[in-house]
Amino acid sequence: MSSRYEHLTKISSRILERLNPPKSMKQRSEKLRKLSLPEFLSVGVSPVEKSEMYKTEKDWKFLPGDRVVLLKGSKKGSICYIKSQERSSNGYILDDNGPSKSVPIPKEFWVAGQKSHMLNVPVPVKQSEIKLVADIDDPANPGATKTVAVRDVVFKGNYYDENYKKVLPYRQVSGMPDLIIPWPKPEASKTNSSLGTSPEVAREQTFWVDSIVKNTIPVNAFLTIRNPYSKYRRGTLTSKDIARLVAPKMPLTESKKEYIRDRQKLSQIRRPKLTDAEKEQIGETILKHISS
Amino acid sequence: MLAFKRGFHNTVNTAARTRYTKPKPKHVPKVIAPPPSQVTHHYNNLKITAPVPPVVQNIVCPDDHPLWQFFADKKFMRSPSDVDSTSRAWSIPELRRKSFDDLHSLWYICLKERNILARENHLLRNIVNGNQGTFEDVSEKIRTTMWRIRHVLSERDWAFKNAQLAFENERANFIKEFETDFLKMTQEEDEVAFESLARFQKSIFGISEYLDENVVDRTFVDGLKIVANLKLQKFAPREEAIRKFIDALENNRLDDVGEAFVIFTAENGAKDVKDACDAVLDLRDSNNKIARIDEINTVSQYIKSLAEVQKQPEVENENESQTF
Repeated sequence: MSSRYEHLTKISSRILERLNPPKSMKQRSEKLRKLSLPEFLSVGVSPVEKSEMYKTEKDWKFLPGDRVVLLKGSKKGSICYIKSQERSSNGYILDDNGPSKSVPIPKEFWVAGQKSHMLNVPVPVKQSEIKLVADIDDPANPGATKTVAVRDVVFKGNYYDENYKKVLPYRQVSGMPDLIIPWPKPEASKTNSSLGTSPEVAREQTFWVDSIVKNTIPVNAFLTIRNPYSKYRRGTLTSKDIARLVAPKMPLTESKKEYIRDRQKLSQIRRPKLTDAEKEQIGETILKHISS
Repeated sequence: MLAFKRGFHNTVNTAARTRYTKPKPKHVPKVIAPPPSQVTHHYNNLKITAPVPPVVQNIVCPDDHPLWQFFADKKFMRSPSDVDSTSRAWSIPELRRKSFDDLHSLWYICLKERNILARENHLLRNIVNGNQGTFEDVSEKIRTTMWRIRHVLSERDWAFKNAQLAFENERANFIKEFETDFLKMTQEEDEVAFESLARFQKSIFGISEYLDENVVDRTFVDGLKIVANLKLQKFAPREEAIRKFIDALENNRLDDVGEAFVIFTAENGAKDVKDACDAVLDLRDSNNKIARIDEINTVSQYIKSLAEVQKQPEVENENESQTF
């Protein structure tokens, strides 16, 4: 089940994920989906689970611009270029030599220059239905190349690709590590950069610290810079918070108060101090007692 | 309390109507129409006109309609080749070099572009039924730029606060060091010296050359006094009158903020400072010393009036309308 608003909000999609049909019902729901969509809207290949979608170049193996040979279908054996990737179904859309279907299209969906209700729409093919085609050196005729279909490709090591402006893995022929098939060059139209900023403008420095007193950021901006209610924010305890968190001191009981009062009274009583005459008298009494 | 007792059945007899009474007419609620709260010219001139026919030509969208901001080049939807998929997000080191205003503008440009992309992506999903991630990918890159802008600003703020804390211990030393360096410079180096003084007052006390930027607080007032004293000391060796003026002061330092302000606003020249000293001596006769508690209010009033004077260039106030 999918929502048409998944890209805008995650709320409904989360609910719909829970409503996902169980595995046993998948086939039936797929059939219903196919029935409910008109032919010109359906992609032709069933969409794959989100977890199974290809993400990296290693998953895809072939990029738009690669030459492939078809292994199945009515156009089996024809060599075509990959035009684009169909993400939802892990499929590749090929050029005019690839498989296509003729579908009726209602007039409101006609494209410019269309004259007939029937239109040829390319059908995406799976990865298992195609093999990569490459030109390699022909050992029989030195200096010449021959076109071969590659059984499988493996990936090893990384390098920065200037054309894609990112790090890509080396694509090797499986079992022949020294035979590297380069990634295709992206289309020329990809150089259009309407959003890009020129390097001079990007590198120009406009921020200078000129005061230790005045912050360059206005106070009103902070509410949008940082989330004051973030769960990662360690707060400081105010005196109010401390008062709320610390238990109050228990009042003393009557008997305890009485006890404290008694102790205070006792401490106030003066101990009599023995004078020298008294000490003399005690000494004499003891001496008398011992000697008698 | 009511005595609640069950009586005999006599209600029917007592409540029975003995003579015919004419029923009252049904109540008709009064319609009070409030007078219109606002009478416009439309109120009197309402005329029935022919209906506007619903033709495409009659629906005109102005070019400056605000909702156009959700469209790129006024297109319903761009083709994937028109979307810029090669540009990358701004990196954090690049953003660190940009001022707040630049980052602020960049943020809004990003926001507008993301709105456009979200609209197009929605159409792609729902009307064209496409599954390509072209718009989403670009939008994600822009989103990266946006969180990086927030990160850079937050980082900048923490750095500023830490620097402020650390500078508290260095402050006195720094000011002393600057004072010795400033007074050491010769008459030929005056221009450089006063430029450095302008930077010094801005960086340590927040005293800007643009009057309306200034926020008057304790630091500002203290800075004002320090700068005024520095000016006096700078010109004392060149003018006898200024030296005498300093010698007459308590601890050889100017402490009254009103007097300091007069010296502070004087032009950077020996003659101008001497004139300012004379003006201070004249003012002293009227005996309006400013108490420490009133200093901030008084200075902010001075600054305000000075800013007003600056705004009217036609008024001839040569001495007061200069920047500092």
